[in-house]
Order: sequence, then C-alpha cells, then structure tokens
Amino acid sequence: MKRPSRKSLRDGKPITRRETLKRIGGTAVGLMGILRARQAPAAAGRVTIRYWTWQNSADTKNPRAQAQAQFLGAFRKANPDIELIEEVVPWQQIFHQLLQAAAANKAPDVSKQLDRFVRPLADAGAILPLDEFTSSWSPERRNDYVYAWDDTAFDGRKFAFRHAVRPVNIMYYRKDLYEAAGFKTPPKTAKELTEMSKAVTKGNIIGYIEPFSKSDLLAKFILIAPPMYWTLGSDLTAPKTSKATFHLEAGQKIFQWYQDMVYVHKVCPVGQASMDSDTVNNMFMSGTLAATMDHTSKWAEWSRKEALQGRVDTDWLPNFANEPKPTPANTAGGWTVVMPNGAKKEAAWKLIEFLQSNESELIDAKMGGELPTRKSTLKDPFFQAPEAKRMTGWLTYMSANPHPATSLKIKKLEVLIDVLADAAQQIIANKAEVKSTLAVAAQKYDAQIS
Amino acid sequence: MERVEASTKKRVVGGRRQGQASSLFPWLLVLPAVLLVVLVTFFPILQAINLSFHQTNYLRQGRFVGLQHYLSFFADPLSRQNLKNSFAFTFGSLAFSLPLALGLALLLNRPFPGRAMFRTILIVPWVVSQLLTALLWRWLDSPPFGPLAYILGLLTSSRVDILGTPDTALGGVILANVWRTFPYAMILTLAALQTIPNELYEAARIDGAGRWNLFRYVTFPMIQNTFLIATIILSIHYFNMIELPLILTGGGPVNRTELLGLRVYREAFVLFKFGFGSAVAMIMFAVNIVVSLAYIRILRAESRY
Amino acid sequence: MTHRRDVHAWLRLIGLYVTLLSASIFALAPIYWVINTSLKEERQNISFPPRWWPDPITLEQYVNVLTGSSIPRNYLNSTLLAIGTVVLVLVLGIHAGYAAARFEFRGKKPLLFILLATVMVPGIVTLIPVYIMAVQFGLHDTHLVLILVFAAWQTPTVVWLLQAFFENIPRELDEAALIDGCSRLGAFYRIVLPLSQPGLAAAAILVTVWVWNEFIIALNLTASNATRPLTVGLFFFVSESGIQWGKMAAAAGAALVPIIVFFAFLQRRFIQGLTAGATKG
Repeated sequence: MKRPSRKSLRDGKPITRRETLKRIGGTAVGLMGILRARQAPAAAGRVTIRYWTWQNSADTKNPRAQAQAQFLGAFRKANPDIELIEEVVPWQQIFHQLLQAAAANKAPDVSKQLDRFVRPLADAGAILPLDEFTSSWSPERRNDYVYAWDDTAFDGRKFAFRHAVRPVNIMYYRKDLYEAAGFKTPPKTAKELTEMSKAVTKGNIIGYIEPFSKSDLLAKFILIAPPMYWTLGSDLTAPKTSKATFHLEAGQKIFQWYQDMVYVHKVCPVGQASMDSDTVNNMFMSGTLAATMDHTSKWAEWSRKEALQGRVDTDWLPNFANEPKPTPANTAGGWTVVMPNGAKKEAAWKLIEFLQSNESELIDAKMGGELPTRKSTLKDPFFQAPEAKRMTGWLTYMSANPHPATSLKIKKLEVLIDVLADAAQQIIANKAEVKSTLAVAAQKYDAQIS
Repeated sequence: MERVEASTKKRVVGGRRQGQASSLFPWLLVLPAVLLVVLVTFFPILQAINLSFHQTNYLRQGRFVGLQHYLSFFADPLSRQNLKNSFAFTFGSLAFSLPLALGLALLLNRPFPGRAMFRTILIVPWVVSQLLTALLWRWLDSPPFGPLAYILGLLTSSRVDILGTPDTALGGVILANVWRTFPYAMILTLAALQTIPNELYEAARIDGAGRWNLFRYVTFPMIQNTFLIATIILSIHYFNMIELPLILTGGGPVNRTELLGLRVYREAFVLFKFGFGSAVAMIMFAVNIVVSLAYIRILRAESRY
Repeated sequence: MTHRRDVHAWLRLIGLYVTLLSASIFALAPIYWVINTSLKEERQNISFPPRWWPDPITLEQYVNVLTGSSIPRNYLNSTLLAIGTVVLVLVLGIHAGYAAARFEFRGKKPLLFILLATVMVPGIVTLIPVYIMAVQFGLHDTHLVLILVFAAWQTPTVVWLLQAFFENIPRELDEAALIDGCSRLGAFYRIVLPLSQPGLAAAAILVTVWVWNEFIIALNLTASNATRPLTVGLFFFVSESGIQWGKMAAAAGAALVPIIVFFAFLQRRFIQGLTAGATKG
C-alpha cells in the first residue's frame, strides 16, 4: 500500500468525520428542541389533559369515530381553557398499556376502558376513585342511570362511569341465507342455531364461528359467556368467593356444544381456535359468515355495509338451555371512562362529566348508535322517533330481562381469559376431553387469585 | 501487516510518563462503552436473577421464594411444549435457511449479467422488521383472502389455514422466518466465497476435480468458518426470537407456536408476573450460554484445522 | 464436442436465471402484495378470489394514513431515535474500537469478551429489569431511555466492527503523525478516523436499520405518541384498523418503502458492515 506523503497528512483531509458527527448531533438536538417546544405547556391559564381512546376521530368511515369527533368538539367549545389531546390506543392493548403507564406514572388524565377491566385496574391501583366529585350529588342525580351505581363501584368506591350501555348478547344474522334454507325466523335456542347453521354451511358460507384467540382477550366469547352460563343457572365465577365455577356442569355443556359444532355437526372450522374477533367480523361483513354475536353498537356500521344491506338483522342470543325463554341481558361490554392520573383532577373530571352529559350522549346515540346511560337523555324526542325504535327495543329487553352485572366484578379477569382461552383451544383444536380440560383451567385460575 | 505491539507500550505519549499512563489511556477510551453496556445489560441481568427468586405483584417485589418459580416452570406441561417449539423452530428454520443461503451464494459467486440486481433483490427481506414480516405473512396466509391461502386452497381444494391449524402453524412461522433471515447467511457466505482465489480452483481443476469435489475440497473448507459463524448467529437469533411469532400467531393455536421467549413475554408483560417471567428468562439465558460455549469450542477446533 | 459444451453452458445459464428468478419472486412476493393491497380501493380487498393487481390505482389509503393517524409523528420519533443512537454508538464505538485495535492493556481480553458476550443475552432477559429501572428513574416514555437502551445493544457489534476496520489501517500512519507532534488522540481523529469512513458508514447504516426496525423494547418503554417510533405506531394502527386491509397495507407500505429505499442506496456499505470481521480467517 502506498504510503501517503507527509505533506498530505499534515494539511490533509479536515476532520470530516468529526464534523459530520457534530452536524448530525446538532440536528438531533435541534429537532428535539422543536419537539419540546411543541409539547410546551399550553398558553397561560390553559390546562392540557391527555385522553386515551381507541376511536380515531379522523376516521371518516366509522360512525362511532365520527360521533366522538363531534362530542369531543363540543367539549372543546364549551371548555376553551382546557386543551384536550386525544391519543389513540387500540382497544386490544389499552388495558395493558394503561397498567404499564400507570405503573410508570405516565398515565393519561382520562382514559376509555372496557367496563370489564375496571375491576382489575382498580385492584392494581391504576385508577383513582371518583367519589370526591360525586359526593355532592343529589339522590335524583345518582339514580339517573339505566344501570346500577354499584356496577362500577368496588369496595364502596366509584371508579368509572359508563359511557354507552351496550346489551352485548345480540346475534347478527343473514336473514336472506336463513330464508333461502327454509327458515322464516332466526334461531331461538342452541339446538335451532345448530340446525340452521348446518343448513346454510355450504360452499363459501360458514354457518357460525366463535373466535378463541388470546390476542384480543377473547373479545367475543367473554361477552356471550356470562349470559350463556346465566341461562343454565350458573356463572363464570362465584360472586362471593371469586373462585372458578366455569368448569361445572353448565360450562361442560357449553364447551361440549362448541366441540360438537366442529366435529359432529361440521359447521365451525377447527381454525376458529386461533381466530380473533376482527377476522370473524371481517368474514361477516364480506358475506361469508351467516351469524355472529356482538354488541349492539355494531348495528350502525354493519347495516350500511355493501354486502349486508337489506340482508342483515338482529335478534337475541339463543337460549342455551333450549328453553323457550329469553336470555338474561348482559349489559357489560360497553366502555367506561376512568381517571388514572390525578395531576389535573378538575379538568379531567370536567371531561368525564361532559361525556355523561345529555348533550354528548345524544350525539353518540344519533351518530354512533350507542345507547345512553342516563334516563334523562332518553326523554329526548329522538328516542320516540321511528329511527330509534331498534335502540329503545334493546333498552326494553334489558329492563325486561335483568341480571346482576357479575361479569363486571370478576377478579383478575386477564387470568380468567388466559386460562379459558387455553382450555377452549385445547377443546376445539385438539379435541380434548371437556370435563378434565376445564377442571385444569379452574385449578389454574383459583391458584392465581388467592 | 506487522503489528508493532511491543513498541506501543514504550512509546512516549505526548510527554506523559510511560508505563502507567499507557495502561490508563486505553481504559479511558473503552470505559464509556463498557459502562453503558454494563448498566443496560449486566446490571439488569443480576436484577433479573434476583427477581426470579421473589414473588411479585405487578411492579412490587414481594417475599423471597427461592427456586419456586423454576420448579413450577418445569412442572408445567406447557413448558415442555415451549421448549419443544423453540428447538423445532430453531432447527427447522436452520434446515431451510442455511441450504437456501448457501445455494444462492454459490449461484451469485460468479459474475453474470444482472448479478448485482439479483443480489440486491435477494437481500431485501433482511431489512424488513420482524413486525412487518409478521404482518405481511399473516396477510398472505389468512384464509380466505390471503393469496397464499388461496393458492394452497386451489391445490388442495379445501380451506387451508396454515396459521390456524395446530400441526402446520409452526411451519408457517418458520416460512416467514426463513424468508426474512436467509439473506443474512447468504451475504456472509457470499463474502467468504469471494475471498477464495481463483488459483485454487484452477489448481484443483487441473488435478481433474469434478464440480462436487471442487465444492467439497476447495470451496467448502474455505468458507467453513464464516458459514459456522453465520449458523451460530442465526441459531441464537432464532432461539431467542419473540417479535415475529408474537405478532404472527401470538403463540397459538393451542400454544403450538409459543416459543420460550414468547412465554417469558406473556408471563411478564401480559400477566404481569415479573418474578416468574424472570425465572423463565433465566432458563432461556442458560440455554444460550450452553449453546454458545459449545459453538465456541467447535469454532476453536475448526480454526485449528 | 464443443457443440455439446455450448448446449450445456446455455442450459446452465437458463437454470441459473430460473432459479434466481424464483428466489427473487419468493423474496419480493410479500412486499408486492402489501403494495398491491395498499393501492386498491377498500372494497376490492375483500374480493374472492384475490385481485393480483390494483385496478384502478388509488392513493387514498396513503392519504388516509398520513393525515389521519399518528404515523407522521411516529416517523419523526424513529428518525430522532436513529440519529441519537447512531451518534451515541459511534462516539462510544470509535474510541473503544480504537483502543481495542491499537493497544494491549491489562484486562483487554476479558473486557472485550464481556462486550461481545452481550450478544448471547436474549433481549427479553434484560427487558423486565430495564423496564422497572426506567420507571424508577422516571425515564419511562422518554426518547433518552430508548436511545440509551438501543445504544447499549448496538455498541458491542459496532466496537467489534470498528476494531476490524481500524486494524486494517496501518500503524505506520499513526506513528508518522506522532512523529509529527500529534497527540495519540490527535493522530486518531485526524488520520485514522477519516480513513475509516467506510467502516463508520457501515456501522451507522447497520445501527439505523436496527433502530428503525426495533419494536418490543419501544412497545414497553413508551406510553404516548410523543415518543412512539414507527414500528409501535404501525402496530397500533393495524390493531385499530381492525379489518380495513387497505389502510393497514398503506401503513405497512409507508413503513416499508423508506427502509428499502435507504437500503437500496446504501447496500454496499450495509453489506460491508454485516460481513466485516465475520470473514476473518
């Protein structure tokens, strides 16, 4: 290798590398400066609060997202001294992300959370009780809800307010497919569901699918499981001891039914053990699935889908005891608002209060198809109009078939979901024996809640 | 290039004293890097070991429980499945990515029109993140809209759900993994191939060696070391993989694709059992150490050859 | 005789191209599919059988992603993290690499071994305690903690790489500079460093690709859009989009295209970085 002459070494290349590094470093510092300036506290007098939601207000195709955009806009208008920052966190992650953020003291000021996870959040100390704000309320105000005050209170402390009540055990079905197979009415019992699903399962169409993937925390099954158990006179866990009861006779019947749907009646695919609710919803929306259970607020979106227009209808969860009685309504499955962070309590409370206001609930009902939580909102003439007939029908069903909201009080729900999903997957994908598999799952759950 | 090592020590460094100064100076240069790595890697390992011996409740460390977590791990039938999955995944992926890499490297070794283009194309999967790889292959495999599921469905005239069927799910993960990682072994092997001087080939050909013997006695011994390094790095990478299977299948169906790393992640960050999660992580670490040591011995043995 | 040879050669050439073409299809197919999906109108995405090319081509999904999500902010974060990590890793790495290349000192072997041994540590082992530490020091959800953690993971490989590059620069150059009156470090900065541009570039590119693609550490150490990098943003966007394939594909495309372009332009250095040191002996 030729040795560079001394001269070129002396006045040779400038320290280009170092220069470049310095320049890059400078740019980085500059960029961070810009970032921090953007995040600077709001103008004097303004309070900034962060709100976690899974609806993206910028999504123009989703009616519920549009409703959110509107009522949050109304909040901003009514509260010019509060700067509201929305952060979108997917619903599949929002529970865990809040736990992590709360543990790190980086939680948002207000968060939307699925109502079934309020208890685990309260137990973990991730959210604050709201009693200091409600202590001054009159009894009329307290009773102005369509659900019980205690549904979202634990150990006497109120932790969350529901925003939108959703009866969740409704069945969306393709009436055209059923009619073509010779059925005039939707299935009312599990037996009928099996029969009708068999009849329509051919070619591209599948009669029924229940997803059991863990990735969305059993989003569908955990909503219809409680009413299935209630119909059979049982429940997922014992209300007093919190111990597992999902493995007893009722549970065995339920899971045997699922197993038979796969192997005996050949309706459900084996792969449903690893499907998630989005996949199943996708199939329904594209017309390849005949029926699926979901909550009431999907109606607004699905009734407008191209493949479903005029072909879809709703009814209640079939009776799993095969009795000609309606299934008790499960109203858990909607969402709530919680306060994880007390740093800006007053402003955060203002948002929580606004989300329960008649104004906000009305927007959500009209645009998003969500049921209001307050009786006073229901007095609005909108709910007497024919467009609201379906919604008021849901409310009537709820009050006619009530059941204590035990599904909101489950201890360590995330563990229950984990063991149930494991058991279900074994039963469906491995054709495991139902009784023993459920017994093992029950043991696992009990071991972890003590 | 000769290393004038001895003289370095004796050289006067800008007027400072000899001896002590020359030992301190390189230390100062190395220290910041070492400090950062120790802070973020070694210190946490000690913490993890400590955590694995305690009961935990969310972020709070509870009482000392000794080896309880380790014992309950080995007593759990799921753990056997995790280990099985991890080894099957590692060997299965190596079984496909290594031959593929070697074969393609051999093809790309000699110049031909378009070689540069092919080489570029074939490296592309390596720059795709594990997350994106998982998403891409999930979409390709998803029945009934995914093109791969569609094609396989046509071939077998049935509904093919690779990732949803317990017996084929791991295969689907291996496929996605091989897709992303074969370029790494390919590049390394190709680089090693390019260092083989032509004279060696000529000499062997003159001696009458055929294609296979050429490969066996000339090519392969020359790239052996590099190929071994690539194998080592890839197998450790495969064994410890989390992101790809996490997003692709989440560990299902029926835990058939839950690798050991996924188990750690789920126990720690989904179920918030940090103590137990740390114990399983330690077990993973132990396997890594054993395998690495074995590899190092093999490397040393081969180098002496 | 020659005729037969020619036919053989032709067949081999065709075989070569066919094999490479198949491999290329394998390599590019998933990427093609994503771009294809992202350029279609939404309703075409749930058609059965699948459509193999978009018709008509529309950019609405990309517009959707770039205006109606946090992805642009995530881009900014990823860029910042990449720059920050590269700077830190290079600063630490050039000094450590130089010391390893030029000096013999007590404890050098064990030190270097410790550095390289981190490759043996599965990331998940340290993630739990690092998460807890980040929380305790109030560094959770900051750019700083991510840069520190990323840099710690990349430094050993870069030191190893740079050591190899520095060793390839003849000592005589250092000596010459010293004779001229430079200090040891001065010789390093003014002579050796500029000559190691290829090595530094290779290191920078490797680190950038790694940081850009990193997911799991960022997922657990961030809690807000202000810090989330592109990978986490993409993950959230996909989860949130549920079943809107076009949107998801556009987000994936938006994450994919920059890194592929980056690689295509800098592949030579990238490959150099990957192979340095591994081809020794």
